[in-house]
Order: sequence, then structure tokens, then C-alpha cells
Amino acid sequence: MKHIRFYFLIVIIVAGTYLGYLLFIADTDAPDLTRYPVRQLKFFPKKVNMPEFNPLTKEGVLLGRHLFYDGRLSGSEDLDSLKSCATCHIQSKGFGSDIKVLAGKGYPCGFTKNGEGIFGKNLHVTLPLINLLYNSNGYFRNGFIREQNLYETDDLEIGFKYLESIVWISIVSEQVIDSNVKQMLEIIGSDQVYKSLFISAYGNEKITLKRIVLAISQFIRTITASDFKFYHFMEGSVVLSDSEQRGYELFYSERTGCFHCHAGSMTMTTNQYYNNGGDGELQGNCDRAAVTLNPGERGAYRAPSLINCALNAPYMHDGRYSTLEEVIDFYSENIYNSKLADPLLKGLNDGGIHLNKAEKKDLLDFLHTLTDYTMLSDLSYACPEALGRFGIRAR
Amino acid sequence: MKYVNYFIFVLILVIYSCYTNEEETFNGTLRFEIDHHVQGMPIEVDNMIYTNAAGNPYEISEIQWFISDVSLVDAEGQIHILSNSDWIHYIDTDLPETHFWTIMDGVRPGEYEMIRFIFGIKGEKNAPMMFTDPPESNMIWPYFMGGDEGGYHYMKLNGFWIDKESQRSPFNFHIGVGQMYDENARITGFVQNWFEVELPLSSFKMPAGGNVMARIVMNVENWFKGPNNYDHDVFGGSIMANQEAMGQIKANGRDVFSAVIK
Ligand code: HEC
Ligand code: HEC
Repeated sequence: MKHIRFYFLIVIIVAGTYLGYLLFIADTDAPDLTRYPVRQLKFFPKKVNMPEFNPLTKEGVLLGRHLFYDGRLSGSEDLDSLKSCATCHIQSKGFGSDIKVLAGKGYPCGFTKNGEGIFGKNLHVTLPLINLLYNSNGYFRNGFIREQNLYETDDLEIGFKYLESIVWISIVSEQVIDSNVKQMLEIIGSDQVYKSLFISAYGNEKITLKRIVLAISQFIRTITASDFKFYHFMEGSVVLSDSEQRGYELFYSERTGCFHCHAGSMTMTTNQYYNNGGDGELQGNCDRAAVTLNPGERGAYRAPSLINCALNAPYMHDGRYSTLEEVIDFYSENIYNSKLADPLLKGLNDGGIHLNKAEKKDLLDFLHTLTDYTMLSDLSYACPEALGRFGIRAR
Repeated sequence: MKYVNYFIFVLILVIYSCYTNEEETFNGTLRFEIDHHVQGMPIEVDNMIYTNAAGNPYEISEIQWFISDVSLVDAEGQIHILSNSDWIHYIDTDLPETHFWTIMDGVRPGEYEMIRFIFGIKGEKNAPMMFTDPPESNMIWPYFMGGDEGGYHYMKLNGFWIDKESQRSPFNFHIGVGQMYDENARITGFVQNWFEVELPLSSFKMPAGGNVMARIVMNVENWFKGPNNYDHDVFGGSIMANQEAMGQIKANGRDVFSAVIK
């Protein structure tokens, strides 16, 4: 017995040393990358949604930030045809905007088994790109992009599983950037700035759509929003005003029930899917049911994070409300008692929770404590100077 | 750098293999499975097919709850705690993977009389913001309604009932730390509503190195009866701030669970 263990050990040592050597020589080809530290924020989920094939590096994030803002992602250098992620995802609006996109098959609907899409003719408002790293329960308003997806795609690694696939779809999809990819790669490839950025991120200057996708994904994963008053209140470092405090107690009360869907961790959402009583007759076809094919989930969407909600007008998936006051009025007296409404919704049989004027004001004041002003002008998220006139800057 | 790491890895392997020895542990493995039943049948969600003891027709949307501090009592009456003191397990009817857990090689061979556990979380353990990852974090209980010892719901049982006006009304049968209020609706104190569950019929023998399966069943209809016929029409759908309702639930809860040993 003892002998066997001894030989086994020798084998392990020899094999281990050899493997180590192989890894060592394989590594010398790769560029010298600096790890970009994942922020572990108090009261935020510890689990992060980052696939192993695309870890954060300082070089990748920097390249991604350039591409995110580069209007030539459209495949054109013509100043009138510039379009990039920053056209719709605007930093001063918490990386969201009021721009709407026609929702359809693949973006952001799912596919049925035989490949037929469930088409919707409705418009969806841009989602803000914050704290994406901390959501492991599906991306898009209906959660179509999720790790469990098994759809066959050109790139199996990315599938329809990760943020990477949204970046990919957004570049090529005609509803979004509608890029002429071939021309885009040529234009980017002929820019000296990108030569060095690609070399430092990938070891050589080869420019591919996949590399572009990986880098942009890295950048958007770094955008965090946690520097808001209510967060600091929970940490114990600030106090709320009287009306904010009353609003906080309303938000977390059994009477309004807001916290059941919009709290949990300090990302201010459960990231779960609910029908929040928006419609009696359901029109939107890119809802949760388009992904799960469960008719019981018609009219259900992911509860949005309420961080920066004061900046994210218009509201709901289709932008039906243009102010937070209207949203509060909706929960107060305009909800539909549809058979599909979630049981966590309060006042379902009474049209809403019936807040008085003062209570509405308190709740509104509380929602305003959820704005992170720092990130709106954080230079590490801003449009790089080097892009010159091709950079998409806030309107 | 990689090289150095590799050496450390190999070194650790060497040391590890020298220290693990043949002296086997003969502890047995206990596997738990949780089921949710109504009248002896697995629950069927989103279907108005049930009637409770008070006569309310109802349907269940989902049940989400915490179990903690699981222990075994042996024939001599000695208590064997099966979990670390910080062990809290979340169970969700929508998430089948939460319906199982295993105490691997953790049960000494012998005769056991019963299984005990805490429904919910004991106050001193139920710290606010201790869970930051979903799904557990979604069980958050409002801070100002639970003091420092009630950061999370023990259970959310959500559904609908047909109310006395024949309307389909949602209920949030939610239980957690309760509050006492003065006449001005100000909170004057808190009430812990977690409780200990003993399953006397769960006696079993754990052979050396054996494998035993314990199936714990939540008999949902019992939440609504014995000793109190719980009536949704009396308490309404929202009870987090209603200690009278939660007190009834707590009293009814003692015979909600049963166990089968396989
Ligand atoms: C024409 C406007 C527009 C452009 C350009 C655009 N997006 Fe979006 N983006 C949207 C809309 C609208 C949604 C919400 C879709 C939905 O779920 O209904 C969205 C959603 C997303 C999401 C999902 C966020 C979440 O929380 O689930 C990500 C990630 C994203 N976009 C990244 C990008 C990137 C990266 C680019 C550039 C390659 C880009 N978008 C370009 C409009 C745009
Ligand atoms: C049953 C779960 C649920 C409850 C309870 C709930 N919400 Fe929502 N909320 C949602 C969902 C789902 C959406 C998105 C709906 C859509 O996209 O059409 C939403 C959207 C919103 C939005 C718009 C956010 C945006 O960026 O578009 C605000 C603001 C909001 N809710 C605030 C509240 C407040 C305040 C309360 C309490 C009065 C509350 N919610 C109660 C689920 C809920």
C-alpha cells in the first residue's frame, strides 16, 4: 500500500512539473495584462456574472471604453452616420436614455423551438448599463440572455448566454447599430490609436469582431453605481431627511410592498420577473413569456433596478410614463387587476395602494435618494479624448 | 510566476497525500429532501383548487422559506447538531435544486429518535443584510420592522384566495419577526416568531457508513388550521405588520411538517 502511494506521488510530481512547464512557455506569448479588480461592494451580491473566457483586464477595459464610444462602430466615417453604444447608453443619464428600439425576434425576444420568433411590434426603452456584473438572473427586460441557454450560434462560447452576446447583437442588429462589420473592421484597423490598444489587450494588432465584443463587454461590466444617499444611509454614514425617511418606511412597508420586488441587495432590485399590473389586455410580445413560453408570464418583465431611476425616464419597458410622479400615481390608483398580475402587488382589487398627496411626495423623495451622481461624471467611464470627432459625446 | 504557483500546488499535494490516511470515518450520510403537499398530494401551483379550513378557496403561487439548526436526537435523548452554527438553508418551490441537501459522512452510526429543526431563523442569527446574493437576499424583512434580530422573512407563501366579495385577491402569507404597536401606531417592541419543529415519527437507524434519506414534507393546508382556523377574510392579504395573524400562523405551524425515512 505504502509503495503504491509513493509511486503515485512520483508520477504526480513528474506530470505536474511537465504541465507547469507547458503552461509557462504558453504564457510567454500572451501580453502582460493587468488584472482589473472586481469591486466587492458592501451589500452587493458577491456572485458576479463574468464568464471565465473574458476576465477583466485594465487593457481590455480601456480598449472597450474606446469602442463603446466610437461612432465608427456603424462601419462609416461619415459624421452623419456615426453610431455607437453611447448613442443610446448615455453616461449623464446613468448609461440609459429615452431612446426606444423596436423589439423583435432575437432582440430582445426569445426563439421558439422551431426557430420561429414571437414577434412584437412594441418599442422598448433603452436599459441603463449599471451594475451588470451583479445580475445573474438574465439580461434584457425579459431575461432572454441567460447562462442556461442552449441555442446554436456561430460562437458557442458566447451563445445567447452572456453580456457578450448582447454586445454582438447590438453591433450587427438592424434595430440597434446595424453595423457594416467588414467596413467597420477596416476603419478601426487603419486607426493608429487602436493598433496599440489591441496590442496591449491581445498581444497583437489583429482586429476581429469577437475581440471588439469581448473588450466592450469588459468595459460595461466595470460600470457600477453605488454612491447614492440611501446606500450611505444603510452603511450608517448619513441620515435621511424627514420626508425621505417617511418615504423609505413607505417603500419598505407592507402597505406599498415596493421592496418585495425592488430591494433585497442594495442593487435595488430582485432581478426577478413580475407582471406589475400594467395592462388589462396584453400587447407587448417581448415579455417574459416570449422567453419561457409560459403563458402565465405574459406581461411580466424584470423589475428594473431603481438606482438612478430619477434619470431613467421614460418608465416601464415601453416608456409609457414620462415622470416618476406618474409611476407613483400608477401604483397608487391605476393598476389593472389582470389575472396575471403578481400576488406581491398590493391593492390589486382597489386599483392600487391609494397614497395621499403627502405620502406620494415622501415616496418620491425617497426615490431621489437612489441617484449616484458620482458615476455620471466619472472620467474612467467617459468618452476618451483620443476618439476626437468620432467619439459619441452626450447631446 | 505560473511556475512558482505550480510548485506550491505540487508541494501541497505531496503534503496532503502524506497526511490523509487509511483510518476511515464510519459516519453515515444523511440526505434530506423537502416536499410541499396539500392533502397528501404534491402542490400544484397557480391553480385555484384548494380550500382551507376556514372555507377560503385558494391557490398557491410560490413558497419560499428558511430552515436552520437541524439536529438529531438519539435514543438517550442526546442532541446531535448536524450543521454549522451559521447554516441556514433556503427552499423555494420554483427552484428544485433547493429541495435537497446532504450531510455527507456527518452522522454517527446509531439509533435516532427524531429530527429537529428551526422553522425560519433564530433572532440572534437573523442579522440584517447578512444575505447579499439572491435568492436569499430577496427574503429581506424591513429593517425598522424587525429590529436587529429579524433581517429576513422566515417564509413567503404567496397566492390568491376568493374573498367574501367573491373577488380573487392576492395574499402574502408572510411570516417573520413581529412588532408591537402603541395606540399611535408606533412600534414598541418585537416578537420572535421562529419556532422549533420536532418530528417524533422520524426515528431511524444509521448503519456504519450507511446512507439514509429523510424526506420532510410541508403539509401546506395545516398552516391554516389547528389550533386556529386561519381566515384570509379576517386578516386580509398583507400581514407583515399584524402580529395577531403571525401568532396564529406560528401556533398552527407546529404540525405543518412531517417526515418519512427511506
Ligand atoms: C439604438 C439604441 C441602442 C444602441 C445603439 C445600443 N443599445 Fe443597448 N439597449 C437598448 C435597448 C432599447 C435595450 C433594452 C432592450 C430590452 O431588453 O428590451 C438595451 C439593452 C442593453 C443591454 C441589457 C442591459 C440589461 O440590464 O439587461 C446591454 C448590456 C446593452 N444594451 C449593451 C449595449 C452595447 C454594448 C451597445 C453597443 C454595442 C448597445 N447596447 C447599443 C438600446 C440600444
Ligand atoms: C410585483 C412586483 C413589483 C412591485 C410590488 C412594485 N414594482 Fe415597480 N416595477 C416592477 C416591474 C416588473 C417593473 C417593470 C415593468 C415594465 O417594464 O413594464 C417596475 C417598474 C417600476 C419603475 C420604473 C423603473 C424604470 O426604470 O422604468 C419604478 C420607478 C417602480 N417600479 C417603482 C415602484 C414603487 C415605488 C413601488 C411601490 C409602490 C413598486 N415599484 C412596486 C415590479 C414591481
